[in-house]
Amino acid sequence: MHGAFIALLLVLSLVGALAVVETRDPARQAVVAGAQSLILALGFTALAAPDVAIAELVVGGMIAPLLTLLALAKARTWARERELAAGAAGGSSADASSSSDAETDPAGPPEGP
Amino acid sequence: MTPRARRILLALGAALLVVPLGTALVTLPAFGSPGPTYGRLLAALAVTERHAANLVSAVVFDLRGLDTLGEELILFAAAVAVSILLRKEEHEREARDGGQTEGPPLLGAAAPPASPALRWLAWPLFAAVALDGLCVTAHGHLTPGGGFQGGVLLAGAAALLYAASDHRAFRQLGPPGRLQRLEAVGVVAMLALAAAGLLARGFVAANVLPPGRLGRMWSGGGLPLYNLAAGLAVGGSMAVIISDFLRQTVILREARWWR
Repeated sequence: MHGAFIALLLVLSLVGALAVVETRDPARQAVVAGAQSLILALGFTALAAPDVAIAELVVGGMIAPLLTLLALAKARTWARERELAAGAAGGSSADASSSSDAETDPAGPPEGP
Repeated sequence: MTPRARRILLALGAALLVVPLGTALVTLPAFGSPGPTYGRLLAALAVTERHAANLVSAVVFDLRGLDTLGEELILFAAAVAVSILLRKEEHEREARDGGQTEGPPLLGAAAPPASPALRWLAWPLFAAVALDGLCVTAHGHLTPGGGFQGGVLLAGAAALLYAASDHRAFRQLGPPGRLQRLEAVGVVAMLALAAAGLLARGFVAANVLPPGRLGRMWSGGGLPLYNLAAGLAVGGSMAVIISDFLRQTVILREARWWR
């Protein structure tokens, strides 16, 4: 019975891993990866490693998806802000130079997805 | 790289991986077998000599304390690196809650407020997870878990605080620098415990305290202190990382385009 349960969890974690890879949108992927952590945590519990399960649950299921989503949100805000700034600069020619600075700035993060 | 070259590279890598992995899998001990001599030695030593009911904690903080110290310093270094990378730069401004700073129309903290369902779910969850974090840390030498698990649970509780309301609740955990100070106290305490072992017994993280009675709150030698120190260090580091990400996402805005 216990062996069958572990086998089921192994199959589920394989399915979960495939689901993570097949999810192409990064925001959705963060959530799916978090759900995959729940399966893994169940697996660790079944294999008598509850301490590993706790760490997997919190780090993989909660903190890692949160940090991913926050990073995505920042990238999107950054891109949208740049669009707004470019739009505002288009209205008045005085600001054109500062907006072209931004377009070619190598220090900025990449565009959000 | 062409798709063909990529496939050839993949095949080469897979072939290199399959042989050692296959050999290792075939020679693995059977599922549930008693394990190697070293493991059995550790199991006997931890209980009879150190009086630690949680074997894993005895291995992590006592018998292999040096490895754990290194791991904790890696996490600490990562938290410091995040803080440096995500610092407020000269061309960034702090968006006020209305989303308007003086002059240019900076985007505000425009995240919608938490829904009632989320709030009602997150507040009890926050209380339960925070309590669990304290409990897991305090009983690290007795029951599964320890400073690391307790620490991430506490940091997770802080993240739930954000889910339950907004970033202001998270930042009300203390004035700027409090999380960093908690983190530093934990790391210094771990280093001090490790150094005490080195000075008194000649080995880093060697146990210097009486073992106490097996199963009691004061047992396992220095393990309870180690778990508390690790809880502070890990919880502090994780909370600092989450806090820096939140600040970068919700509060800091580019100002250089709006001169």
